[in-house]
Amino acid sequence: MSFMQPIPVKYACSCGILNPINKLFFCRHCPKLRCGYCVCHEIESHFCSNCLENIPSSEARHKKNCCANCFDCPCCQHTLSARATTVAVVRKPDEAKDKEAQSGAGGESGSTTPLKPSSVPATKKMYYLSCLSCRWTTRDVGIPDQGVATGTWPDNECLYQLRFNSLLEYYQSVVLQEKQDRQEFLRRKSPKQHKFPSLTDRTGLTVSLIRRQIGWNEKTLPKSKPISISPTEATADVEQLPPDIFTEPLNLRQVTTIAQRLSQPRDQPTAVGNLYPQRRSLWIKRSLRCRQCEHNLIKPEFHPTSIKYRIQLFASHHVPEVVMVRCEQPLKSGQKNAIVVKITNPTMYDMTIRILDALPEEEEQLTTEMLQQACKIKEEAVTSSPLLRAAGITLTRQNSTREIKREVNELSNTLIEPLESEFVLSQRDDSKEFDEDIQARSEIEEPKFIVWRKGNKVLLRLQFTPEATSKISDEVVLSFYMQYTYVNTVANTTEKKEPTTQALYSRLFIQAGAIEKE
Amino acid sequence: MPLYETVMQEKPPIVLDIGHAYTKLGFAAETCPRKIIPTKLVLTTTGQSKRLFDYERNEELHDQMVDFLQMIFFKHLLVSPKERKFVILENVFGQTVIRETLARVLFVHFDVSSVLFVPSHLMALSTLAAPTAVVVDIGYNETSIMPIFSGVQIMTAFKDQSYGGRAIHEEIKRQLLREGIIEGDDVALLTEIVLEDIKIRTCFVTTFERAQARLNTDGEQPTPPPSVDYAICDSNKVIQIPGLLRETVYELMFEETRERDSLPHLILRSILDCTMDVRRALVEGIFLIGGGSMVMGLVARLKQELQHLLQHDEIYKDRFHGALEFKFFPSICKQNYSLWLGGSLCGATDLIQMRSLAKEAYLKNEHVPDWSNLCDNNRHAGS
Amino acid sequence: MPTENSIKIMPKAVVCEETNLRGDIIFSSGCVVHPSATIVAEAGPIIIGENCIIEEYATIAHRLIEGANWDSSNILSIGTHNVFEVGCTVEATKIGDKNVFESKSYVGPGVTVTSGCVVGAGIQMRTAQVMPENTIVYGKDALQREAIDKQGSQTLQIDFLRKVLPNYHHLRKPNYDPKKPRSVV
Repeated sequence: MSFMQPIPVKYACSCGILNPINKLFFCRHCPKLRCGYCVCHEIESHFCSNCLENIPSSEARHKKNCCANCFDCPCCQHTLSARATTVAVVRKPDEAKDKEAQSGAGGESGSTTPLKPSSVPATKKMYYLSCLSCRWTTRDVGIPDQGVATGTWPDNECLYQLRFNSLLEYYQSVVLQEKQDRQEFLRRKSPKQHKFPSLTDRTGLTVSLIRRQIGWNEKTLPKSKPISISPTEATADVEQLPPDIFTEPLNLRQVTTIAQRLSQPRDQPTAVGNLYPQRRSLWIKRSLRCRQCEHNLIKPEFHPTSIKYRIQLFASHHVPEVVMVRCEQPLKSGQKNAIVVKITNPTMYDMTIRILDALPEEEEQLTTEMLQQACKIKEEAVTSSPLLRAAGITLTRQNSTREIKREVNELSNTLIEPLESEFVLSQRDDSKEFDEDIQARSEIEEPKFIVWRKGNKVLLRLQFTPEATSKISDEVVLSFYMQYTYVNTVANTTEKKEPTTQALYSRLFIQAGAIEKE
Repeated sequence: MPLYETVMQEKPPIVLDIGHAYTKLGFAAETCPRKIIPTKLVLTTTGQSKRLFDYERNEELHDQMVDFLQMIFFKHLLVSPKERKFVILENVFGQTVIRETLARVLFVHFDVSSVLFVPSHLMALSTLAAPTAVVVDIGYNETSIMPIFSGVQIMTAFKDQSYGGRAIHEEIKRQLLREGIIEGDDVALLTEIVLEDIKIRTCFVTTFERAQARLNTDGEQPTPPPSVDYAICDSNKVIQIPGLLRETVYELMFEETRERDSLPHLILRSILDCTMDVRRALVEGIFLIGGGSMVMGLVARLKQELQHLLQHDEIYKDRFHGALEFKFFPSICKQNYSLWLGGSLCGATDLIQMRSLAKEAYLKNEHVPDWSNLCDNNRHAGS
Repeated sequence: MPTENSIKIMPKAVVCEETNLRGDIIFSSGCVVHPSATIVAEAGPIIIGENCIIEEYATIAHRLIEGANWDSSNILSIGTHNVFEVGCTVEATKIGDKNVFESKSYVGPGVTVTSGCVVGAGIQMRTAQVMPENTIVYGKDALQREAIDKQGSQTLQIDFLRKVLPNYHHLRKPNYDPKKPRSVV
C-alpha cells in the first residue's frame, strides 16, 4: 500500500526517534520498541557478494577484507568476469625434448635451432578478465592472459614497504624508550613504601648493590636504544611541468577520473594504462543487539546464500500495525473531522487496545522518572564543555552498554479525541483469512467507533479537529497513544514460566495531509 | 621487542583522517588506507547525499556523524567499533565542536575503548623521519602552514588561508560563466563533482615565466594550451574548456594582493614568524601534503615564486640573509594520504596505550582535553 | 517519403515479417532483423551493411529535419557487423562498422558513430558529436573511454539466429540478388 512512498504513520521508538513500523524492532525482554539507531550493530559474518562464499573473519582480516577470487573493474568499479579464449600452443614436452636433443647434440650444428614445425599444435585455454559494463579487459593494460581461471593476477606492490617498515621500527623503539624512561622516572620519584622499614634503606645499601656484592647480575633490563634512521633528504630539484603540456592536445580518455584514482588508493594512477584489477571488497551480515538487555534482536542465518533469520524481532510481528485509510472530510482549519485507521493484530493472542490522548498519570510518572534518571546531569565538571549539553541528547548507563535517549520530537499539532472505551482485537488466524461468513462477532454489540471488523483487523473512526489557527497547506499531524496488551512468552525470571500479559504504550504520529483551501 | 609485539597481536587500531572533501580510513601499521571515500553521507530520511560538515544544529552534526561512521565501520572497514582503539588525525586549530562531537559519538554511541587525537601536521612529518620542516597542507577547505622544528610545532607561526580545492572549483565555475561557455540554466550542470573532474583531469599550475608574461598585459601573451572538449552529464552537453582556464585557475594561489597572503607569501611569513636560528632549516625543508598539492607543476612553480620573492621583495630581502635555496621533501606516498600514513605509524607504537583518551577518562567528565583549553593546561599552576 | 515502401533484402539476410519497415531500405546479406524491430527511412534511404543484428524493439530512424523533403541521395549508411540491442533507438547520421548499441540506449541525430564504438545500456547521446573510433560510453554519468582491445565478433550469434529464427517466425523473402541485378523476384 505504501510501497515506494513515504509512510504517513510513524511510531516513536523508545529512543525518541520517529520511524515507520517496518523500520522498527521490538525487544521482547525489555519490552520496548527499538530502531536501527539505538541498537548495537555487530558483524556476524563476512562474505563475498559476487561468489557468495563465506569467509571466516580471521581470513578476512588476513586478506584485508578482500575476496581472493573476485575482482572489480578499475575503470567503472563493476565486477570483472573471467573470459576464456583458446590459444594454440606448441606442446611443452616436445619443446623439452627438442631442448634435450639440442643439448645432447652439443654445439654440433645450428640447423636444429627452429622448433620442429611438425610438433603438433594443441589448444590451451587462457583466461583474461573483462568488464561487462565498460568492456575494460586485462589486455587493455597489457596483463598477460592466465592459464587458470582464478589466475594469479598481479597484486599491486607497495613501493615504499621497506621504508615504511624501517620507519615503523624506528618509531616503535623511540616510543619504547620514552616509556621506559618514564617508568624509570616514576620509580625514582616515588620510592615504594614498604610496610616494614627495610634495613637497606637505613644502611644505604641498595638492592642492586647487594645483588652485585652477591654476584648476581643486574636485574634491570638493559635500556633499549632507539634505532637510528636516515631522514628523508629535501631536494632542490623538483619535478618540472612536461614542456609539451602547452602544445599537445589533451586526450581526456587517457586521464583517469577521481573515482578511478581513489579506487587504487596506493598508486592513484593518472593514466588509464596504469589501472589494474582490484580485489573485490567483502560484505558483511549484521546482527543487532539491544543496548539495554543485550539480547539479540536480529541474527541472520550464517550462510551467505540464505536470507532467513535465526532471531528476528521485527516490530511488525509484535506491535499492532496502524495504517491510515482516509480522512472523512477534506481538512479544514478548525473543522471537526475524523480519520479512519486500520489496526491489525499480528500476534497469536487477543489484544485489548485503548486509544488515549495522553499517558495515564502513573505511567507518565514512570516514564518521566526514567527520563529524569537518564537525564540526571552529573556534577558539572568545570572542564566539561557546555557545547553538547544543548544538544539535548542524554545517556544512561546500563549494564556495560549505554542507552541513548532523547526527547520525542514533538511534531504533532492536533490531538485525537480519545476513545471512550477499550476494545478487543482478536488474534491472528491465517485460516480465517479465507472464511466467507463474518457473522462471528455480529451478535455482540460493537462500540460506535468501530467501522468494520474481520478477524484480526479492525477499522476505527477517530475524531479530531485541526487547529483553527493553522493555515492553508499546513501539514496536519495527529498524535495519540495506543495502549495494547501484549502477551510476553519469554520469561524474564526463571520462576515464571507462564506467559505474562503486559500493557504497553506506543506513541503514534499520523501525517493526515495538508489543510485544503476553503 | 616483545613489549610492542603484544600490541600488534590484538586488533590493530583504526586510523581515521576525516577531511572536508575526502576521508581516509584504514588500520594502523598498514602502508596505505583501505579506502579513500568522499566525506558524504546519504540521509536515511530523505535519501539525499550530503556533506558531513554541512549542518545547522549540533544535534544534526551528531546524527550525521553517527551515520557516517556507521557506514565506515560496516561498509568499508568491516569491523565492529566496540572495544576498539582509534587514532584520529585532527587539525590543531580545528573546531572544538567537531572534535567533541566525534569523541561523543565514538565513546557513547559506538562504545570504543580509546581515542588518540594526533595533530595532523606533525604526523605528516613523521612519514619522513625528519625533525624539521614547514608542513604545507593544501586541503579542500583551506591551506594551512605549520612550521615544525625538532618535532615541535611552532604554533605562533601557524598560517591558514581559504584557497583550497573549494576555491579552485569556484574559480573554474567563475571562468566558465565569464567566458559564456555555460549560460543560464546550465549552471546547474556544474556540480561539485563535475568541477572537481575538470580540475583533476585538465588543469595544472603553469610555469613562473608564463605567469609573469600574463601579468604583463601589454606584452605578448603566451599561447594558451589546447582547449579540451568535455562532455557533462549523459553527454547532453559538450563544453569546450578553454586552454586559458586550464592554465590559470591555480593562479589564485599565487595572486599578488596587498594583504600578502598568496601561498608563497604565506610560507615566507610563517618562516619569518619563527626565531632567526631555525629559519634556514625551515627554508631547506618544505613539505607539501594534501590532495591539492598533487596537481602538476605546483612544486616547481612554488619554488620559483619563493626564490623570486626572496631576491626581489624588499621585506624578505631585509630579513633573510645569505644564499638560501628552498628545498622540498619528496613524499614517500601520495600526498593526499600523508597525514593518514603518519597516523598509521603512530597507531603502531605504544603511544596508543600511553597517550590515548580512554573511555573511562572520557566518561568521567565527557570532555576531550584540548591544548587550547586552559582548564586542561593548568596542571602546573593548580596541582 | 515516397508513398511506397521499397525494401530490398539480399540473399542470406534473415528479416522477420513482423518488423515495422518504412521507406527505402536495403538489407545486405547476413543481416538478422528480429520481430518488432522498427526501421524508418523518412529523409532518405537506409543501407544496412552485412551481418548486422537488429534486435526486438530496436528503432533505427533516418528522420526528416523540419522543412526538408525526401531526398534519395541523403543516404544513411550503416556499416557491417553492428549490433542494435533490445529497445535501443538510433538516429545517428552515420554509422561505421562493428558498433554495439546496448539495450535502451539512445543516439540522437547529428551523432556520427565511427567504428568499434559501444554505447552502453541506457546511455543517452543527444548532442551532435563525432564519436572517435573505439569509443565506449558507459555508466550512469556516460563516461567515455577508449577500448584498446577489439570487440569480439558476433558470427556465432548470427549463425545461431539464422538457424533458429526461421523455425519460429515468418520471414520476408530475399527479393534482390546483386548477382542478377534485373531478376527481381
